[in-house]
Amino acid sequence: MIPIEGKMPPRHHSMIVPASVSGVRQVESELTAFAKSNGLPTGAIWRVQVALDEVLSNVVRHGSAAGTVGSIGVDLDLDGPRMEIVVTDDAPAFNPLEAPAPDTSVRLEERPLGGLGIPLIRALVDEVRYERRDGRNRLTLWKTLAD
Amino acid sequence: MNGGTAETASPSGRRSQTEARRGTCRSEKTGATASGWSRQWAVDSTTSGELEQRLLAQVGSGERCVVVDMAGIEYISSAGLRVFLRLARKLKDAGGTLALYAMGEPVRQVFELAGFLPLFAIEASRELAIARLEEKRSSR
Repeated sequence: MIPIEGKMPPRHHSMIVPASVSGVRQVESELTAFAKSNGLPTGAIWRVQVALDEVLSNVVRHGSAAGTVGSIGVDLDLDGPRMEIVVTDDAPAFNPLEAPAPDTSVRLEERPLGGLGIPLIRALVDEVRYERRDGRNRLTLWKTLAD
Repeated sequence: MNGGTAETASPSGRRSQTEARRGTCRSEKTGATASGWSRQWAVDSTTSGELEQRLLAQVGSGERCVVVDMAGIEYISSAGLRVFLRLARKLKDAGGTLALYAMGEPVRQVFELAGFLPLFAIEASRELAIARLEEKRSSR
Protein backbone atom coordinates (compact mmCIF):
# COMPACT_ATOMS: atom_id res chain seq x y z
CA MET A 1 0.00 0.00 0.00
CA ILE A 2 1.33 3.44 -0.91
CA PRO A 3 1.04 5.96 1.89
CA ILE A 4 -1.06 8.96 0.90
CA GLU A 5 0.64 12.37 1.02
CA GLY A 6 3.54 11.02 3.00
CA LYS A 7 1.25 9.94 5.83
CA MET A 8 2.75 6.65 7.00
CA PRO A 9 0.49 4.04 8.56
CA PRO A 10 1.29 3.42 12.23
CA ARG A 11 4.07 0.85 12.65
CA HIS A 12 2.95 0.13 16.17
CA HIS A 13 -0.41 -0.92 17.55
CA SER A 14 -1.34 -1.64 21.16
CA MET A 15 -4.53 -3.06 22.54
CA ILE A 16 -5.92 -4.38 25.79
CA VAL A 17 -8.81 -6.81 25.55
CA PRO A 18 -10.70 -9.06 27.96
CA ALA A 19 -9.37 -12.63 28.20
CA SER A 20 -12.43 -14.03 26.45
CA VAL A 21 -13.60 -15.15 23.02
CA SER A 22 -14.79 -11.65 22.19
CA GLY A 23 -11.38 -10.31 23.19
CA VAL A 24 -9.69 -12.79 20.84
CA ARG A 25 -12.05 -11.68 18.05
CA GLN A 26 -11.14 -8.07 18.64
CA VAL A 27 -7.40 -8.80 18.44
CA GLU A 28 -7.96 -10.73 15.22
CA SER A 29 -9.82 -7.92 13.53
CA GLU A 30 -7.34 -5.28 14.72
CA LEU A 31 -4.41 -7.39 13.49
CA THR A 32 -6.12 -7.75 10.12
CA ALA A 33 -6.64 -3.99 9.91
CA PHE A 34 -3.03 -3.34 10.98
CA ALA A 35 -1.73 -5.77 8.34
CA LYS A 36 -3.89 -4.16 5.68
CA SER A 37 -2.91 -0.58 6.45
CA ASN A 38 0.76 -1.55 6.39
CA GLY A 39 0.39 -3.59 3.22
CA LEU A 40 1.76 -6.73 4.88
CA PRO A 41 1.90 -9.75 2.55
CA THR A 42 -1.21 -11.92 2.94
CA GLY A 43 0.89 -14.96 2.00
CA ALA A 44 2.70 -14.55 5.31
CA ILE A 45 0.37 -12.75 7.71
CA TRP A 46 -1.87 -15.82 8.13
CA ARG A 47 1.03 -17.44 9.98
CA VAL A 48 0.93 -14.65 12.56
CA GLN A 49 -2.86 -14.89 12.70
CA VAL A 50 -2.75 -18.62 13.41
CA ALA A 51 0.11 -18.31 15.92
CA LEU A 52 -1.68 -15.48 17.72
CA ASP A 53 -4.92 -17.48 17.88
CA GLU A 54 -2.96 -20.31 19.52
CA VAL A 55 -1.40 -17.95 22.06
CA LEU A 56 -4.64 -16.14 22.88
CA SER A 57 -6.84 -19.22 23.12
CA ASN A 58 -4.26 -20.69 25.50
CA VAL A 59 -4.41 -17.60 27.68
CA VAL A 60 -8.22 -17.63 27.70
CA ARG A 61 -8.32 -21.33 28.60
CA HIS A 62 -5.60 -21.05 31.20
CA GLY A 63 -7.16 -17.95 32.77
CA SER A 64 -10.63 -19.44 32.96
CA ALA A 65 -9.21 -22.64 34.47
CA ALA A 66 -7.78 -20.43 37.21
CA GLY A 67 -11.21 -18.89 37.69
CA THR A 68 -10.29 -15.43 36.49
CA VAL A 69 -11.23 -13.41 33.45
CA GLY A 70 -8.41 -11.00 33.26
CA SER A 71 -7.05 -8.85 30.52
CA ILE A 72 -4.73 -9.53 27.64
CA GLY A 73 -2.37 -6.93 26.25
CA VAL A 74 -1.24 -7.25 22.65
CA ASP A 75 1.48 -5.06 21.12
CA LEU A 76 2.27 -5.24 17.41
CA ASP A 77 5.51 -3.69 16.17
CA LEU A 78 7.00 -3.51 12.71
CA ASP A 79 10.70 -3.10 12.15
CA GLY A 80 11.16 -3.34 8.40
CA PRO A 81 9.75 -6.72 7.36
CA ARG A 82 10.13 -8.04 10.91
CA MET A 83 7.09 -8.11 13.12
CA GLU A 84 7.22 -8.37 16.88
CA ILE A 85 4.13 -9.48 18.74
CA VAL A 86 4.05 -9.20 22.54
CA VAL A 87 1.21 -10.82 24.43
CA THR A 88 0.89 -10.21 28.17
CA ASP A 89 -1.72 -11.46 30.59
CA ASP A 90 -2.42 -11.34 34.32
CA ALA A 91 -3.23 -15.02 34.81
CA PRO A 92 -1.10 -17.10 37.20
CA ALA A 93 2.44 -17.79 35.98
CA PHE A 94 2.30 -20.21 33.09
CA ASN A 95 4.93 -20.97 30.48
CA PRO A 96 3.13 -22.61 27.55
CA LEU A 97 6.46 -23.41 25.88
CA GLU A 98 7.15 -26.03 28.55
CA ALA A 99 4.22 -28.17 27.41
CA PRO A 100 5.32 -31.52 25.99
CA ALA A 101 4.94 -32.02 22.24
CA PRO A 102 2.17 -34.42 21.23
CA ASP A 103 2.97 -37.76 19.66
CA THR A 104 2.23 -37.29 15.96
CA SER A 105 3.28 -40.78 14.98
CA VAL A 106 0.11 -42.44 16.21
CA ARG A 107 -3.08 -43.34 14.39
CA LEU A 108 -6.26 -41.30 14.11
CA GLU A 109 -7.92 -42.94 17.10
CA GLU A 110 -4.99 -42.27 19.43
CA ARG A 111 -4.00 -38.84 18.17
CA PRO A 112 -4.27 -36.44 21.12
CA LEU A 113 -6.73 -33.57 20.73
CA GLY A 114 -4.66 -31.23 22.84
CA GLY A 115 -1.13 -29.95 22.63
CA LEU A 116 -1.26 -29.06 18.95
CA GLY A 117 -1.02 -25.31 19.45
CA ILE A 118 2.50 -24.87 20.82
CA PRO A 119 4.25 -26.87 18.07
CA LEU A 120 2.27 -24.82 15.55
CA ILE A 121 3.42 -21.55 17.11
CA ARG A 122 7.03 -22.72 17.00
CA ALA A 123 6.69 -23.78 13.37
CA LEU A 124 4.86 -20.68 12.16
CA VAL A 125 7.00 -17.91 13.61
CA ASP A 126 10.78 -17.44 13.64
CA GLU A 127 11.21 -17.17 17.38
CA VAL A 128 9.12 -17.27 20.54
CA ARG A 129 10.11 -16.45 24.08
CA TYR A 130 8.36 -16.57 27.47
CA GLU A 131 9.06 -14.36 30.47
CA ARG A 132 7.32 -13.69 33.75
CA ARG A 133 7.66 -9.96 34.27
CA ASP A 134 5.97 -7.53 36.69
CA GLY A 135 3.49 -10.22 37.77
CA ARG A 136 2.40 -10.87 34.20
CA ASN A 137 3.02 -13.62 31.68
CA ARG A 138 4.75 -12.23 28.64
CA LEU A 139 5.10 -14.14 25.40
CA THR A 140 6.99 -12.52 22.54
CA LEU A 141 6.84 -13.76 18.95
CA TRP A 142 9.01 -12.61 16.06
CA LYS A 143 8.23 -13.18 12.43
CA THR A 144 9.87 -11.84 9.29
CA LEU A 145 7.11 -11.31 6.79
CA ALA A 146 7.93 -12.15 3.22
CA ASP A 147 5.59 -13.37 0.49
CA MET B 1 -13.38 -12.64 9.23
CA ASN B 2 -15.57 -13.00 12.25
CA GLY B 3 -18.25 -15.64 12.22
CA GLY B 4 -18.18 -16.85 8.70
CA THR B 5 -21.31 -17.70 6.84
CA ALA B 6 -21.38 -21.36 6.14
CA GLU B 7 -23.83 -22.89 3.78
CA THR B 8 -24.48 -26.54 3.35
CA ALA B 9 -25.33 -27.86 -0.06
CA SER B 10 -28.37 -30.11 -0.02
CA PRO B 11 -27.31 -33.00 2.18
CA SER B 12 -29.49 -35.84 1.00
CA GLY B 13 -29.01 -37.64 4.28
CA ARG B 14 -31.54 -40.45 4.14
CA ARG B 15 -30.84 -41.40 0.55
CA SER B 16 -27.10 -41.55 0.97
CA GLN B 17 -27.49 -43.51 4.18
CA THR B 18 -29.29 -46.13 2.14
CA GLU B 19 -26.59 -46.00 -0.49
CA ALA B 20 -23.95 -46.27 2.20
CA ARG B 21 -25.51 -49.49 3.40
CA ARG B 22 -25.30 -50.79 -0.11
CA GLY B 23 -21.65 -49.81 0.00
CA THR B 24 -21.44 -46.87 -2.36
CA CYS B 25 -20.96 -43.13 -2.12
CA ARG B 26 -20.98 -42.51 -5.83
CA SER B 27 -22.97 -40.22 -8.09
CA GLU B 28 -24.52 -36.83 -7.70
CA LYS B 29 -27.76 -38.52 -6.74
CA THR B 30 -26.48 -40.33 -3.71
CA GLY B 31 -24.41 -37.22 -3.10
CA ALA B 32 -21.64 -37.21 -0.63
CA THR B 33 -22.28 -34.18 1.51
CA ALA B 34 -20.54 -31.02 0.48
CA SER B 35 -19.99 -28.30 2.99
CA GLY B 36 -19.16 -25.19 1.05
CA TRP B 37 -18.61 -21.71 2.32
CA SER B 38 -19.88 -18.70 0.50
CA ARG B 39 -16.99 -16.51 1.48
CA GLN B 40 -13.52 -16.79 2.92
CA TRP B 41 -13.37 -17.30 6.63
CA ALA B 42 -10.82 -18.28 9.22
CA VAL B 43 -11.40 -21.38 11.30
CA ASP B 44 -9.86 -20.53 14.65
CA SER B 45 -10.73 -20.63 18.34
CA THR B 46 -13.54 -18.10 17.84
CA THR B 47 -15.25 -19.85 14.91
CA SER B 48 -14.40 -23.55 15.22
CA GLY B 49 -17.55 -24.22 17.26
CA GLU B 50 -19.69 -23.16 14.33
CA LEU B 51 -17.78 -25.40 11.94
CA GLU B 52 -18.05 -28.33 14.32
CA GLN B 53 -21.80 -27.92 14.73
CA ARG B 54 -22.35 -27.86 10.99
CA LEU B 55 -20.16 -30.84 10.24
CA LEU B 56 -21.22 -33.04 13.14
CA ALA B 57 -24.88 -32.29 12.46
CA GLN B 58 -24.47 -34.08 9.14
CA VAL B 59 -23.08 -37.18 10.80
CA GLY B 60 -25.89 -36.96 13.33
CA SER B 61 -28.43 -36.85 10.52
CA GLY B 62 -27.15 -40.17 9.23
CA GLU B 63 -24.68 -39.02 6.61
CA ARG B 64 -21.91 -41.58 6.23
CA CYS B 65 -20.15 -40.39 3.07
CA VAL B 66 -18.81 -36.94 3.78
CA VAL B 67 -16.68 -34.75 1.55
CA VAL B 68 -15.81 -31.28 2.77
CA ASP B 69 -15.10 -28.34 0.48
CA MET B 70 -12.16 -26.58 2.09
CA ALA B 71 -11.84 -23.80 -0.49
CA GLY B 72 -13.60 -21.19 1.65
CA ILE B 73 -11.27 -21.66 4.59
CA GLU B 74 -8.62 -18.97 4.46
CA TYR B 75 -6.57 -20.38 7.30
CA ILE B 76 -7.03 -22.77 10.20
CA SER B 77 -5.65 -23.00 13.73
CA SER B 78 -5.45 -26.00 16.05
CA ALA B 79 -9.03 -25.39 17.19
CA GLY B 80 -10.10 -26.13 13.61
CA LEU B 81 -7.79 -29.13 13.34
CA ARG B 82 -9.50 -30.64 16.37
CA VAL B 83 -12.88 -30.31 14.64
CA PHE B 84 -11.65 -32.39 11.70
CA LEU B 85 -10.07 -34.93 14.03
CA ARG B 86 -13.34 -35.33 15.95
CA LEU B 87 -15.34 -35.53 12.72
CA ALA B 88 -13.05 -38.22 11.29
CA ARG B 89 -13.30 -40.28 14.48
CA LYS B 90 -17.02 -39.93 14.72
CA LEU B 91 -17.44 -41.02 11.10
CA LYS B 92 -15.06 -43.90 11.55
CA ASP B 93 -16.97 -45.11 14.61
CA ALA B 94 -20.17 -44.93 12.58
CA GLY B 95 -18.68 -46.89 9.69
CA GLY B 96 -18.50 -43.81 7.48
CA THR B 97 -15.80 -42.21 5.37
CA LEU B 98 -14.45 -38.70 4.97
CA ALA B 99 -12.49 -36.85 2.30
CA LEU B 100 -11.46 -33.21 2.11
CA TYR B 101 -10.97 -31.29 -1.12
CA ALA B 102 -9.86 -27.93 -2.57
CA MET B 103 -7.69 -27.13 0.42
CA GLY B 104 -5.88 -23.80 0.20
CA GLU B 105 -2.14 -23.59 0.79
CA PRO B 106 -2.24 -22.10 4.32
CA VAL B 107 -4.66 -24.81 5.44
CA ARG B 108 -2.55 -27.54 3.84
CA GLN B 109 0.55 -26.22 5.55
CA VAL B 110 -1.09 -26.27 8.98
CA PHE B 111 -2.31 -29.84 8.37
CA GLU B 112 1.25 -30.74 7.41
CA LEU B 113 2.88 -29.02 10.39
CA ALA B 114 0.49 -30.77 12.77
CA GLY B 115 1.24 -34.15 11.17
CA PHE B 116 -2.36 -34.43 9.98
CA LEU B 117 -1.79 -35.13 6.28
CA PRO B 118 -1.48 -38.93 6.70
CA LEU B 119 -4.72 -39.01 8.73
CA PHE B 120 -6.98 -37.59 6.02
CA ALA B 121 -7.96 -38.31 2.43
CA ILE B 122 -7.21 -35.00 0.71
CA GLU B 123 -8.06 -34.45 -2.95
CA ALA B 124 -8.03 -31.58 -5.41
CA SER B 125 -11.69 -31.71 -6.45
CA ARG B 126 -15.07 -32.89 -5.32
CA GLU B 127 -15.10 -35.59 -8.02
CA LEU B 128 -11.77 -36.97 -6.87
CA ALA B 129 -12.87 -36.79 -3.23
CA ILE B 130 -16.00 -38.83 -3.96
CA ALA B 131 -13.93 -41.35 -5.94
CA ARG B 132 -11.61 -41.62 -2.95
CA LEU B 133 -14.53 -42.40 -0.62
CA GLU B 134 -15.59 -45.05 -3.06
CA GLU B 135 -12.12 -46.56 -3.00
CA LYS B 136 -11.97 -46.51 0.80
CA ARG B 137 -15.33 -48.25 1.09
CA SER B 138 -14.54 -50.97 -1.40
CA SER B 139 -11.20 -51.71 0.24
CA ARG B 140 -12.85 -52.63 3.51
